[in-house]
This record gives sequence, structure tokens and C-alpha cells, in this order.
Amino acid sequence: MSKRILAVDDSKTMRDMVSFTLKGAGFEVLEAHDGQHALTVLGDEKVNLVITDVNMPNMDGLSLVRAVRSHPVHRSTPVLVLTTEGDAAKKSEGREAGATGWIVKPFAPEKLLQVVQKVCV
Amino acid sequence: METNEAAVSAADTPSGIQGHAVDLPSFLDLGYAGELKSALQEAMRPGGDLTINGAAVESITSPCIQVLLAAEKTLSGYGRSLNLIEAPPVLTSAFTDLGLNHIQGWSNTQ
Amino acid sequence: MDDFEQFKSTFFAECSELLADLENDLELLQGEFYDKETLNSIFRAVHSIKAGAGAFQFKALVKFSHAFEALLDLLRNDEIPVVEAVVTVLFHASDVLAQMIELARDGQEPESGYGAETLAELDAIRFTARPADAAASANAASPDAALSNGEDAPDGMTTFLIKFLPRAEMFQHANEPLLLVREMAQLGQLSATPSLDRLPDLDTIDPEQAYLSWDFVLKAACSIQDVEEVFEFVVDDAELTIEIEKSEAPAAIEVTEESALPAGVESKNADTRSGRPAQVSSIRVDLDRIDRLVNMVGELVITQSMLSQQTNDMPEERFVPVVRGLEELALHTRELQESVMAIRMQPVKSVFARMPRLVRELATQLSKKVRLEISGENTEVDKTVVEEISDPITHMIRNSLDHGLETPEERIAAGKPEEGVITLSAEHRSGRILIVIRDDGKGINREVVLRKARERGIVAPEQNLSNEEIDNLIFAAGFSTADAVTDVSGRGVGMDVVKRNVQSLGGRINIQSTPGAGTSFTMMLPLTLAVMDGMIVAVGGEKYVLPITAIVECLRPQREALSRLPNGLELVQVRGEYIPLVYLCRAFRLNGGIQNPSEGLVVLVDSDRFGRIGIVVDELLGQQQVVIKSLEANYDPVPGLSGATILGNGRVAAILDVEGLCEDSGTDLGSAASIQGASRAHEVATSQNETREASQ
Repeated sequence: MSKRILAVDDSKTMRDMVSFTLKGAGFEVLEAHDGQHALTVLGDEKVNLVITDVNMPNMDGLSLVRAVRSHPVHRSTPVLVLTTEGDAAKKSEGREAGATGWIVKPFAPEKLLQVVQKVCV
Repeated sequence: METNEAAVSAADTPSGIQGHAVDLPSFLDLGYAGELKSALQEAMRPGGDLTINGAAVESITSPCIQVLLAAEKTLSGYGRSLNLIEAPPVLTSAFTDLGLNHIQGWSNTQ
Repeated sequence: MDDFEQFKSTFFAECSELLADLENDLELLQGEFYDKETLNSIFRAVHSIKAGAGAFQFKALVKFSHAFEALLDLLRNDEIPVVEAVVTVLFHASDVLAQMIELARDGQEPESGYGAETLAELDAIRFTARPADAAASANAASPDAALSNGEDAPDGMTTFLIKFLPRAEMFQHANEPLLLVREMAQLGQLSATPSLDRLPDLDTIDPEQAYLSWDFVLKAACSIQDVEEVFEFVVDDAELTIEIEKSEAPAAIEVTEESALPAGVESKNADTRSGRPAQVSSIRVDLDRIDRLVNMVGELVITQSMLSQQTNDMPEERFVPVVRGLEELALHTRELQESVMAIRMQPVKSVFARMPRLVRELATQLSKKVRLEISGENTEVDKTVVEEISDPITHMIRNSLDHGLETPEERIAAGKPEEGVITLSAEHRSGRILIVIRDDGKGINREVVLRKARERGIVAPEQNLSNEEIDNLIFAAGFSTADAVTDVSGRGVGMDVVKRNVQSLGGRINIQSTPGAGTSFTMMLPLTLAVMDGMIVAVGGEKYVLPITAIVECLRPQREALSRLPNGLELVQVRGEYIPLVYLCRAFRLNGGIQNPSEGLVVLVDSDRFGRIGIVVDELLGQQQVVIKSLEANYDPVPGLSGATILGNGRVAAILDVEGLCEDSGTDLGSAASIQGASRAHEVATSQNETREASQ
């Protein structure tokens, strides 16, 4: 059974690239364009990992992380935050919100897969 | 549909003493650790050894491993034992990788 | 990495957006009215372009954007000051970047050496601040080589001793020790010794807390950074020590590596970076949230005024605490509203800052010499207004440069300094913002303007106009003084459109001109578009709101002051001036309105197109701040109305649009046909009231 990952990003380029890389490695990928959409896509179906951008309209990445952490079904799901810069402030904000880890954009496909392996149970 | 619940039943343990058996479900993640604790508490109440059947396990993480270890510790404190049977590779490798393979009372089916 | 080929079109679409943002932000930088976020935003744009370019292997683009980004990084970290010379290079770089992206889109590689000059400029600035980078760059085969400086893995095997003691709350972030162990095992040969010392009994265990800890021994051909990276996400949730076993490794490898780094690179180190807390005096808030807040406070204001109106008749002495409570509520509501509005107040500098570039570019294009002087850029208005003033200001500045200012030769001939001056200023005046654009050019040639206006039929041949009236003709629809439509002013928008836009914001625009000495545009706008001071007027049992700013005076005329023209137009004489009357009750076809102005009231208002008009109403009910609800957003635009509001009694009241009202009844006030639109407007207000009542 392949692992399922939800990729959340308002940039279609990024979403496509994340999705493409993960699918190539055998993951099943769901996509959402903002935090609110992500919660709709998730519903009550378990996924193995959520990867989310930070700056998004409607519901930003950090709010999404908080929503996931307080969700009865998804609260133990790992969440990776896509940060634009290797910015310490963003990382710690992400952690405070409950994120499992982060990926700094831009990333090579190998780096993405490496980080995913690190958190995807 | 497959249920992710531990099944508790009376079973003959290898030691021959009448004990209880717990069938582990497929997914033993953080969210399940609390239920696992209750299931094990329930199964330990009657006394005797405890048999845990891991045949169905597809994935397990540390929180549930800790609960299993705590159960073993508690039982051995009373001079009882916990036996893990039918452990699939996913289960044994989790224990091995964490350095828990040589802990007493485990993996007697290996 | 041809894998990403299919995403190219998405990438280029995003590049266009990023380039537009980049351009915008650079303009802000130009004007010196920028903040840290502007620099960050510029950095991010270039950074994202580089990331995408890397994915698609646009080598020239990657190389160039890397140099660009590296310089921006120093700028945003205050290592290089933002001075004009630097900004100029950034502009060049942005142009080169855009060109390279365009080439990449067409599948072409730029000619070798394209952008080399700008690249050299970028590097030159960077290397003066960071000589170390120059050395790194010199022997770097690829742009990224500089980054891997000092991170070479030691060739021999190293033995790492790792103590890993997770804190109880480790699982809250869904981090999993098992995965960390497995990742470490991939680096080399790993042995794990767990400790169960902290593990409680089954009855007391909290199944969601971490109790286990480990000692690991890892033998691997990797650097200590590689090992640290494994624990990257859990360092805050665990006690972690990583040591290198002395016997097999050079002493204190960590220190060696640190000191091997060039001095300037030290700030890149993760530890020093995280150890420097950011000083935060402001936060960024999503605009949607603020809009929601403003909306809710608007509703609160309505509820509050409803409450106080309904309790007006209460015998005060019997309900002292209630009355006092309501008074306080009113006070606090008003304060809350002001505070909330203050959140959205922004300095106009974001708009003003774009103007220097505009002026410079236009001046070059027109071969004119000009200096732009800006003042009052910190004057604040509601962000909805800030967004709206950009176009009118741009247009007026263009107009001043194109039509107002003379060429250097003309100026010298006229005995003026060669360089013209345009001033752009903003200030608060009586609860509004006043924006003035003044030039010291030749002023308006009234003869030419009047002739053109007559040619175009805007002014009747026999009509005599005052100087002021002639000047204001340039706002007339279909008027343009440029003999040929120039590149500069001829962008399809006339001054008439500017004026209409300003008016639709509840503002006014005027022009004053002195031949030979210059022209000035004066624009007066409300500070916010969300609330308005209104005069509530009653007509035939209905209530309407007139914007206070439109009102000149209110009077009850004597019967003798009223007269009627043969075409039915009614007039009132005020201090010798005849002013046409508009009956609100007729315009909205209301029954029971007072038909005789000497029994009701006349509110004098200034209309831009019809001059002074008297609006006949039954009575004035008082002045009140009203929350503006858009008709366009909730219904449809209605002539004669600019919006609606909800009054204290919960009923909808229409906000009158003086201009539209005059226009509707304007040319022949007696005609029934002209009031069609207005009567429809009344139906709207009535049906909205019905809807509102039905929903309550």
C-alpha cells in the first residue's frame, strides 16, 4: 500500500513539482491550493504526511498546521512546512505551530525525498 | 471493513498457563497508543501471562512500542511474562532498529 | 532533471508575476520609502526565479540570478547600504533578468556575454563588502560551490558518540525516533543502546509522551554536520550531544571547521543565526482579517446606535445603570471603531515612492529637465484610499510633465532655470487628505483651451467663461489639448476620467493655473471609504443620507425667493444668486413630501457639473457617522445613489450621490422621464427594507 501525502501550495509550479517528485518515488499525492482547501481535501481520511507552503491566501500554512494538530483524526500526522528562506524565525514559528519539520525552497528532488523519508512513517 | 482494534481473548500461552491474548491491529500510531494501553490493561487484569499476536501489524511507531514495553515491565514485576507471537518483519525491525531486540521476554517466536 | 520540463509554462507564468512584483518593489526602493519587507520581497522574487531556473537548468539565468540574489541578501541584512548607485544596478539587473527569462521562454540561450556587464556590477558591489566571496567565487566552477565551502566530508571513517534524550513532548510534533535511527543507519554502521530508565508502569504511562532515550555509536565517512542534520527537526525537543571519538579523529574537528570558514561566512552558521532574536515592533496581518474586523465593527456600530435609539424614551431616572452603560457602550464603540480604522491607515508614501522613477523616465523621453520634490509622504489614509490615489496622481504628474513644463530651451528663453520643478505634497485638512501636484511650467494657455472647447462643442460660441472655468475645461469629457496624442499622456485616459474616479471616491479635484508661472492640481479625498459623516434628511417619511462634505448650507427660503422658469425649472434666490431646485420627493416619487420649499428646507450642495443646486427636503434629522454599504456589491448600481447604510432603527437608508442626482434631474427638472432612475432607486431602498424586515 503506497503512502499518501497531501501537498499544499498556492503556487502551481511548486505544487506540480512537489507532486511530480513524490509520485515518481511511489507516493500517492493529494493536492490543495490553500489551508482551507487542504482541510476539505483531508476530510477524515488519514494521510501519511502533509507538506505545506507558509504564505497562502485564505488559510496560511501555520494556521493549517495548528488546525491539523487539533484535528481528532490528523493530530498525529507529520507536517512539513515549505519555507522560502533558510529563515530561523519561520522555522521556529512552524515548530511552535506544531510542524514536524521544514524544507527550504528551492529544493532538489533528492532533498525533498530525503526529508520526506525522515518524517513519513 | 477492517477494524483497527485490538482483540482480546483467552488463549493458551506457550507456558501452558491459562492467560490472555491480544491481537494487535494494523496501524499502531500515536493516535492509537491510548487505546492500546487500555486494551493491555484490560487483558492483564485476569492474571497469568499475556500473549500478543502481531500478525496484522503493518506499521508501528515509538508511542505504541513504549506502551508494549511498559506492559512487559509491569508484568515482569509480578513475575508474569509477555509473549509476542507472529511478529511480522515490520514489527521485529522496529524493535531491532531501536536496539530493543535483546530485551528479555521478547520475540520468543524468532 | 528534464523531469520538470512539463512545468515550464507554469514557471514562466509565475515569472511574469514575480517580475512585476520585483519592478514594483524596486520602485519603492528608489524613492527611499521602503522597509525591511520590501527588501525581503525583492529577495524572494529573485530567489524564486533562481529556484525555478535551477529546476529547468537555465544555466545563464541561474548564474545571473545567483549573483543578483547574493547581493540582495547582503542588502537585506544591512551589510550593504541601499544607496542610489546600488539601486540603479538593481534596476539594470532586473531588466537583464526579464530579458533572460524571455529568452529562456523562447527556448534560446542568451548570447555569451549577455548581461556580463551588469553581472560584473553586481559582483563588484558584493565583493567590496565581502572580499571573501570574491575568492570563493573565483575558484567556483558553479555558483553553488561557494556555499559548500568548508563542508567537505573527511575522507576517513569517523566514530560519532551520540546521546539522544527526547523530551516528553517529542511526539507532539509527530517526530519519530525510529525514522531518525533509520536515517542514521544509512550514514554508516550504527549500534543503538536504549535506556528504559524513565519508562513507567503500564498504569501510569502517558501513551503520548516520550520516555525512551538512546546512546548511539555511529561509524561513518561523513561530517558532523551530516549527523546533526539527522536530528535537524528534533533539536528543540531533545537533549542531544554529538561527539567525535578522540582516538580516531583529528582533535576537535568542530573547531577546525568553524575556523576554516571565512570570517564573513560565520553569520551563516545556524547557531549564531538562531541566537539572534528578531526585534519585532510590528506584525503583518492578513488583509482579509482586518476587513472582517472592520466589517464586524461596522455592524457593532449599527447595533449600538439601534440600542441607544430604542432606549431613548426610557425614563432615565429609573434605569440609571442601563443608561450609563449604554453611554459607555457608545463611547467605547466609537473608540473601537477609530482604533480599527487606524489599523488600516497607511502612509501615502507607497504611492509617492513610485513617482520619482516615473518622472525620471518621462523626463528622459520628453527631453525635459525636471526635479520632483515630495513632501507629506507620511500622511496616512485608509488603505482603500491609498490604492485609489495612485492612478490620478500618476496621471496628473504625467500631464504636468507633458503639457505643463517647457523644454530647457523654452525655459531659458523665458528666463527660468533650465530645470523645472514638480512638487507632490500631501497633508490632512479638515478630516480629509489634500494632495497637491504643482509645476512651475507655462501654465494653461486659456486661449487655446477655449478655442478647442468651442471647436468641440463643449462650450457654446456665445458663452463667456471665467479664467477658472476655462482652466477646469481640461476636465471636460472628450477634451485633450495635445495636438497629437503623445506616448506620454495619450494612454487612453483623459483628465475627465481622472475627475470622475476621484468623485466616485467622494473626492474633488481642482486646477489653478497662472500663465507663465505654472499649474497646480488640488485633490481632496476622504480618509476612508468605509465610513462617512452624513446628514440624515427626511422626505415623505423616508430617510436619506447626504454626505456632509457635499453640503454648503441649509436654509428655509421665503416664499418671495422662489420662482419658476417657463420650462418648469424652479429656482431659489439666495443672496442674489438663482439656484435650481431638485425635489427629492419628486425625484424618488415619494408621496407626502413637502412641495413648498418655504415650508420645508433647502439643502444647498455643490455639484461639479451643474454648479450649485438646492435639494428640497422635509426636514433635517441630524448628523451621524454612517457605515457605507456598497450597492454594487449587494445589489446593482443605482443612479442618484452612491451606496446605502443601516440606520439606528435597523432600516436601510440610501446615501445620495449629488452628482448623479443632479444629472438625473439636471437638464429639465420638470420632466417626468428624467426621474425614472431615481424612482427605481427608491424601490431598491424600499425592497431592501422589506428584505431586512423579513429576515429579522
